[in-house]
Amino acid sequence: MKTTIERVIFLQSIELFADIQSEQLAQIAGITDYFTLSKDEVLFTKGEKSQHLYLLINGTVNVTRNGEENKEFDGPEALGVWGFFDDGDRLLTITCSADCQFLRIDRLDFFDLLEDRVHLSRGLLKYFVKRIRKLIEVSDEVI
Amino acid sequence: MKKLVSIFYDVRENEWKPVFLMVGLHFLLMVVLYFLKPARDSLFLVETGPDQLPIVYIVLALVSLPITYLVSDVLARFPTRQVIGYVLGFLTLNLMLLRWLFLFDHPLIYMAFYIWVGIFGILVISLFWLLANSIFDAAQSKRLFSLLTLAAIVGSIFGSQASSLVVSYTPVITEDLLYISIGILCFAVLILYFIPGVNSENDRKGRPESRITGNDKTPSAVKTVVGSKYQLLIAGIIGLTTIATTFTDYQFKALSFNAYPETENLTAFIGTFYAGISLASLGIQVLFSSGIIKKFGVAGAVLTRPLGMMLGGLLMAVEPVLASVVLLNGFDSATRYSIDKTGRELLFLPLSQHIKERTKLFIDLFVDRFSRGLSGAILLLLLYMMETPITLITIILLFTIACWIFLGYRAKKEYIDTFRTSLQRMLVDTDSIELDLNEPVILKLIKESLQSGNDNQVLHTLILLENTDVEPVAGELRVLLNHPNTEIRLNALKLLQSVESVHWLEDVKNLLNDDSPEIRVETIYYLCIHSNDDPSSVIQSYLKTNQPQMQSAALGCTCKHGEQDDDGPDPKLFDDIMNNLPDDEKEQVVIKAQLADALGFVKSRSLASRHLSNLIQDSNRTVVTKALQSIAKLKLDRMVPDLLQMLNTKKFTPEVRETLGSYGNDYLTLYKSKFLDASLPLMVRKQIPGIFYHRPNETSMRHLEDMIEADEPDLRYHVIKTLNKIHREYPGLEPNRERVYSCLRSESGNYFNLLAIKAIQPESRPNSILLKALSEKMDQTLERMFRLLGLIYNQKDLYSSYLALKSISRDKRSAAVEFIDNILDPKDHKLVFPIVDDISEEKKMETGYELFNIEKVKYDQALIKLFNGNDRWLKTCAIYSVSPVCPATLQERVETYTKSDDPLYRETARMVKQRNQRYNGSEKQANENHQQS
Repeated sequence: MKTTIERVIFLQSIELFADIQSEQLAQIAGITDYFTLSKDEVLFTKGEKSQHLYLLINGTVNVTRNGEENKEFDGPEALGVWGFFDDGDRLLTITCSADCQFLRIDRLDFFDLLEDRVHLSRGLLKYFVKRIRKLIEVSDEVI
Repeated sequence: MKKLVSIFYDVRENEWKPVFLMVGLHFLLMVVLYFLKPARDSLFLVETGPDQLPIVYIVLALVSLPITYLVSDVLARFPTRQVIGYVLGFLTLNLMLLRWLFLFDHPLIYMAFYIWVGIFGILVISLFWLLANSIFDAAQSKRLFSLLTLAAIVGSIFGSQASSLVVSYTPVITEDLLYISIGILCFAVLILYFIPGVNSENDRKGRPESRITGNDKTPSAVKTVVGSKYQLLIAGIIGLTTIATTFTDYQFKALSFNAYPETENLTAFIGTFYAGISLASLGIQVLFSSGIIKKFGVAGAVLTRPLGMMLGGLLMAVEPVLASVVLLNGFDSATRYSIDKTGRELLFLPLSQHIKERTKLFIDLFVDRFSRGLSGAILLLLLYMMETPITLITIILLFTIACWIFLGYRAKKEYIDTFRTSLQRMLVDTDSIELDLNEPVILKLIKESLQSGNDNQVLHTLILLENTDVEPVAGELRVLLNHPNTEIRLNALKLLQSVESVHWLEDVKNLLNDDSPEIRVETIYYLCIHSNDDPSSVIQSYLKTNQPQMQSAALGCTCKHGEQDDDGPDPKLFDDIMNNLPDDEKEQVVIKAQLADALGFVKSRSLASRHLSNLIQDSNRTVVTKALQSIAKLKLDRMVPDLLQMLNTKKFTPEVRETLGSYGNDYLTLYKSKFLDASLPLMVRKQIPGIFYHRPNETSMRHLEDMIEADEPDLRYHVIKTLNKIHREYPGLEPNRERVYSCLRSESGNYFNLLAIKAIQPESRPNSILLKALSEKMDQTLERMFRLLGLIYNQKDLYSSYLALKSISRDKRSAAVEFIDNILDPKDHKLVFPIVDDISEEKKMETGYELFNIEKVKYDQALIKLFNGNDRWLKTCAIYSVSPVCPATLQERVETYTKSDDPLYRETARMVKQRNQRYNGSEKQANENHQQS
C-alpha cells in the first residue's frame, strides 16, 4: 500500500473516517506510515503515552485489559482512538495474534492537518456524535 | 470660533466640518420644533379648546407607534442620510399643505396639526441621533455628542423665544410661523447634503440595532421586563412619569387658554414659557445635576423631578391658578431633559447591553405611549363627568407623583443590587457607558469589584474605568500593580498614569523587570511623566544603560509615547539591542517583542523593513504578531512579497491577511493578480480572498466578483465564502447580481457535467473511488451554488435550507425543497431547482441536457473530460479508474501521467500501469493454460 489513492481507499473503510471526503482523506493519507508486525508482537501496552493512531490493514490483533483477553479484531480497524484524541494513556494492551500490516498516524501531524481543514473536523465530529448516540441508546436500553 | 469651542470640547482636526454641520443641523431642527410647538398649542387651544386635548393625547399615542415602525423599516433598507433627506422633504411639503388647510379653519385641521408636530418631534430627534451615530464612531461620540446636545438646547431656546417675539412685535400671525419653518427646513436639507463622511460601517451596523423588529421582539421584551423586578420598577417609573406629565400638560394648557384666549397672545406666552424652561433646563444641567448626583446618587437624580412636581402639585391644590401651574409644568419640563434624563440613563446602566437593547426600546416606546393613551382616556372620562375637573386632576396627579416617588425610592436599592450582580457577571457594556466615580454608590461598587479577587471581574472593571477620572480608586489600582495577571497589571498601570496627584515611583519601578513587554514600556512612560526630572532626561538614562531589557523598554516608550515631531530614536540603538540579546530565551522574546512593537512607530521605513523582515520569521508567536502589527501600521511596500509568502506556511494566516488588508484599497488589484497567477502555490492563492474581508467596501466587492471566475473550484469556493462573510456583516455591500447569476449558471453547468460523468460510471469499477469523488464534487458544487444564492437572497434562509437538504430527515429535506421552490426567481429556479428536487438522476440529467446542451458521453470520453479538467483529485481518481479493459487511448494517457511532474498523478499512474500489466499478464497466462489444456 504505497500510493496515496490506495491508502484513501483503505481509509474509507475505517469507520472513524467514513464521513470525511475522499479528497480530505488524501491529505490524511499523506501523513500515514506503513509498517508491519509479526505474530505476538505488541502494538502498545496499557498505561503507555498515546502518540499515534494505528490503522489495522490486514491481520488479527488481541485486545487485553487488566490481563484478561477482551476482544479480537480483524482489519480494517482503527486502534488507540481515544488516547490519540485526548492525549491520555493507553487503556488497553494490543498484541498481534497473526502477522499484521498497519498504517500509523502521528498525533502532531494529524492535529496540524486539522487546524485549517474544517471539513475534516466536521467529518470527525459526525463520527463522535454517532458514537455518543450509540452509547446513549445502549444506556437507555440498560435503564 | 474654533478656539472657543476647543476650550470646552475636544474636536480633532478632521472633525471640524462634520461637527460644524451637524451642530448647525441640530440647531435648525430644534428651532423649527420650538417654533412650531407654541404655534401648535395656541392654534389648537383657541380653535378647538382644551377639552379636546385628551383626544389628541390618545391619537398621538396610537399613531406614533406605527410611524416609528415604518421609519425603522425604511431605515433598514436605505442609508440614514437618504432617509432623513426624504423625511425632511416630506415634512416640508406637509407644512405647506397644513398652511393651506388652515384657510378652511376647521377644528380637525388644528387637531391634525397638533398630532403632526408631536410626530415631527419624535422623527427629527431620533433620525438626527441615528445620523450622528452613523457619522461618528464610539470614541468620537463620547467627545462630541455633548456639543450636539448643546446645539439642541440653544436651538430650543432660540426657536421658542423667536416665535414669541415674531408674533408679538411683527405683523406675522401664528399661522405664518409655518412659512418660516418651511424656509428653515429647506436650509436644514441643504446642510444635510454637505455633511461629509458618513461612516458606512457604523451606518450599516447601527441600523439593525436601532430597528424595532416588532412582532418577534416585543413578546420577548415583555417577558424580560416582567421577569425582572428591577426592570418592572423602571417601567413603572416611566409609566407614572408619563401620566403625571400628561396631566400637568393638560392643566397648563387649559389654564393658559383661560388666561390668554387670543391666538397671538397665547403663542407669545407659550413661546416665552418654552424658552424659559429651555434656559432653566440648561441651568439645572450645568449647575445642579452633577452636585445632586454626587450628593444623593441615582436616587437624587431619579427623585428630583417628582419631588419638585409634588411641591408644584400641592401649590396647585391650594391655589389652582396659572402661576401655580407654570411652576408645576416649568419644573416638570426643565428637569425632564436634564437631571431626570440622566437619572433614567443611570437606571439602565446596570443592565447588560443585550437586555438594554431589548427592553429600553420597549419601555421608552410602548410603556410611554400606553401611559400617554391611558392618561388621555382618564382625562376624557373626567371631562365627561364634570365641566372643570382641574382640582380632581390635581388630586390624581398628587397620588400619581406619590407612587412615582415610592417606586423611585425602591429603585435605588434594586439599582445597587443589580449593578453589583452585573459587575460580578461582567454584564456592563464597556463601550456604551461612562462611569462617574463621584456617584457614591458607583464608587463603592467599583472598589468592591476591584478587590473582588475574580480576575475577569477585575479586568472588566478596569476596562470600564477607561476615560474615567480614577483618582478615587488610585489606592485600589496601586494594589493591582502586583497582581499575578498580566492584563490586570497593565491596565492598572495605564489607569494610574493619568492620576497626577500621586507618584508611586517605587511601586512602579518594580515593574521594570516584568515579563510583559507592554508593561515595561508603560512603566518607563509612568516614570517619565511622574518623575520630578525632565521626561527626556529620564528616558535617556534608561537608553544609556548597558541592559538591553531597559534599553528596549525605553526605546519602545520613546517610539510609542514620543512627540510626533521628533526624528525618532537613533537607528543604531535597534541594531545594538538586536546584536546584544541576552542568553535567556524568555528575555530575548520580551526584548524582540518590544522592538517589533516600537518599530511600528519609527519614521525610517528602511530601518523598520530591515528589522521587521527578520522578526516575522521568528519562532515566537508574540514577536511575529507584534511585527505584523507594526507592518500594518507602517504599510511597508517592500514587505508585501514576504507577507504573501507567509500565507503558504499557514501558521499566521489570519494575522497576515489582516496585515495585508490594512495596506488599503490600492493594493487590492495586486492581490487579485496574485490570486489569478497560476504559478503561485495553490495554498497562497486560496488564502488571498480572505485579505479582502478586511477591507469591506465596494472596491473589494468588485475585485472579488472578478476573482469568482477562477478556474479551480477550490479557489472559487474561497472567493464566494469571503463574499458571503462580507455580505453577512455588511448587508449594504451587495455583489453584482448579474455576475452572481453568471457564476451560478456556470456552477449549475458544472454540476450537470459531473452528473453526466457519474451517470455512466459502472458500479464495479475499482473500488468506486471515482464515483465517490464525483458525488463529493457535486456536493461541493451544490454548496457553492447555495453560497452564491446567499448573496442575492436571505443568507440565513439559504443556509438553513442547505443544511436541511443535507439532513438525514426526509421531512426536513422535503420542506427545504418546497421552500426553495417558492423563494427563487424563475431565472435562478431553472438552474437550481432540478438539482435539489427529489427526482431520479436520469430525470435530472434530462434537464441538464436541455439547459446546457450537455452531450451524452461514453465512459472513455468521460474520463478524458476529467483528464482535461482542472480538478486534481478527480484527475487522480480518473487515472486510477483506467482498468486493463479500457481503450488504448486511455492507457496512453496513463502512460503520459507516469512521467508527470505532479507526484500524485505520477505515483497513481505508475501503480495503475503495474496493476494493468499484472492483470494482462495473468490473463495471457490463463489463456495459454487454457489452450494447453
